[in-house]
Amino acid sequence: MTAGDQDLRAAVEEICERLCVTVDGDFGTPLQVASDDLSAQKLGMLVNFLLDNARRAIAERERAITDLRQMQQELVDQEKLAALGRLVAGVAHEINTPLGSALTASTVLGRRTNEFVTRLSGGKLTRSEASDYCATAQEAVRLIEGNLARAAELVASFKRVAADQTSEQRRRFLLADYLRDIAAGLSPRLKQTPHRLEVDCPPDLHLDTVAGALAQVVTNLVINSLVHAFPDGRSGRILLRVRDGAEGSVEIDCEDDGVGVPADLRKKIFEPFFTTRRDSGGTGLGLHIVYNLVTTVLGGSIGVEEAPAGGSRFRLRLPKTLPGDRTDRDQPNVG
Amino acid sequence: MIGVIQRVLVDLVRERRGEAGAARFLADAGLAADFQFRIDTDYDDAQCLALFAAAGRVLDLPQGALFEAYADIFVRRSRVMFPAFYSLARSSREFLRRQPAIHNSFAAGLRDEAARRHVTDKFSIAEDGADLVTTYRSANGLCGLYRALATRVIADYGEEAEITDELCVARGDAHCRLRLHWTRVAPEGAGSAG
Repeated sequence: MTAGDQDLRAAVEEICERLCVTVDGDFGTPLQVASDDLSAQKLGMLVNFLLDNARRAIAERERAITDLRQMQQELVDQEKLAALGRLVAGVAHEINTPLGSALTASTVLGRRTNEFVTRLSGGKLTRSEASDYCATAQEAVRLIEGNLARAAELVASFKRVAADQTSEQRRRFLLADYLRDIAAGLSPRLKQTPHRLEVDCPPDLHLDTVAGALAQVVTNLVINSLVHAFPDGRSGRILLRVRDGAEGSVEIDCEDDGVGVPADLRKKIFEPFFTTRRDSGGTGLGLHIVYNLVTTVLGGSIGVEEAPAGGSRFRLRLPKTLPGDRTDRDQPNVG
Repeated sequence: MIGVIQRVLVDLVRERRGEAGAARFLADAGLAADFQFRIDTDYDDAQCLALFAAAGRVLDLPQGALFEAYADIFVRRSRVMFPAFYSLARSSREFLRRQPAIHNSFAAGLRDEAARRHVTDKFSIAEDGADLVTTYRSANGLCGLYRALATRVIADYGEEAEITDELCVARGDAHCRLRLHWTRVAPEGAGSAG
């Protein structure tokens, strides 16, 4: 065997050993054969060329995965904002009714007051006219007060839920009240359907958690039922049922008496972009957001099963108090 | 610069001035008489430029003639060292279109990412109809060497082309750009003359 042959053989052996290491994913360090033999150097170049291409392919794949995750996160964020936008639009529509009634009552009151003043200053006001005016004024004031109070209540409720949804701050709150606030925010949407939403929650149950995340979870679950559970147009019932669970936990069920989720879809239902309604504009992100919020922000778990009435039941198990610094007192509602 | 360039330069001196001349040439550059440039290693650009200048003096050739002489032996040597690069190309255009990829493959073994980029950023090529437009980015200013090598490769395939300097660092441009326009091509499937 010549010296050149020996060099080449040594290079081949070195390359074989190096390739064994490369199988473990060590593409970072190129091979440099020690030999001065031209063929050995060419062989080394070939191996390095192949390794370099593999390294680039891996880097490209990792970059694509990173880009995809970032895009997915952006879509999730957009969906959260869109959900908030829908809430704002719904509440604005809801507030419009009492404000409209109050405006009508105040207009009538203003017109009658002008007539009253004209009659009074002309010395022509009769006792019966004065009495009629007082009755009208009393009724108008009652309507204005009642409708403005309703509008104020809606605004306060909306502010609690909306402000929570834009914040990731934890706070201590009474769950029953909070679920009613969320239900109030959903009422404009519910009014467009024949379905009803009921809340069954122990009145004295407190949670110390990220309220905004919980609001978004409950909202998305209810909307999911509205969109998917009743395709045949019949009226349905959606129930939010809360039970004080074991070991400092709480169970929140969101169940409906709709068509349910087929068993083969239950495993996929929380996957991002999974939707059976893409042709009607479904993004497939609503339940993925729910899953992420429950498992990460709220530190709980979620599953889906068949409800006793044949519909679907999403069951959340959440810690009543999130680990970490607890909030000792109820936080005042922002409204 | 990747060592295959210097390796062939030493061969040129050896061919014209013998072993003793090559040894002196290497010694003048501060290298051992039996020093072998490796084809998988990036060497200092300044040293390479100094070697070309020294070769011009040793061989008593002005730069243009030196590049022509170098291109001639480079094509002969590279045909032996890398015969597949030639046999895979049916025309000089096909060979030169692949030249940046061939050039970059020599950088695959460089450990340092900056050194690798230093090599791979040098050449890029674009097709403009039947023409090739080669962009050469290097502070070395060796576009003349590229021109000589391209001319020699084209002749090696029995073809002819006009090479025009559209941009040149020697004229103050940011980089060099050469347009290769073939005026005679070999018959289809004629392959290289090697």
